[in-house]
Amino acid sequence: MTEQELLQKIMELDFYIIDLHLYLNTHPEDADAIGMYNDAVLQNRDLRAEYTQKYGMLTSNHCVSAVPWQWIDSPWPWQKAANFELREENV
Amino acid sequence: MNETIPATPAAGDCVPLETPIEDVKLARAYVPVQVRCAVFTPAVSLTKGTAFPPLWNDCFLRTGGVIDD
Repeated sequence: MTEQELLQKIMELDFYIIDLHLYLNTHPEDADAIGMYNDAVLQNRDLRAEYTQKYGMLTSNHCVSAVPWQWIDSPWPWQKAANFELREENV
Repeated sequence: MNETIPATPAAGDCVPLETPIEDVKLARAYVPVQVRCAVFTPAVSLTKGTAFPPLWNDCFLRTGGVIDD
């Protein structure tokens, strides 16, 4: 995956996890939803690790850095590299 | 130097949190319990703003943001 594809996958899973989290707050016995939540969290963890290894730090406080310090090389939120049009899949 | 912040400003500056109203009927609100069915994929969820199809309303897209009564 390219950097942008990887970043988009992470953003999609971040949102998906938040929405399932909110649902589970009111449906704590829904085992299927907990399974979907857990799968998404594990997949997101792998993708974040892959992104960090290939392209640098995603967040400033929860990622390890190679030398030199990588945070300053990541795209800033206002740069085009961090803003792209979302692709809908499987609609 | 004070080390604490007063919980409320001076009484004379307070705005009442609730303005009492009289001679009106109370409203009732009902929030149906969400029933989960199929969910959108993560990619579609992000574009629609929800993972749950019943919570997605495309009326604004269909009408260009105009809703007729």
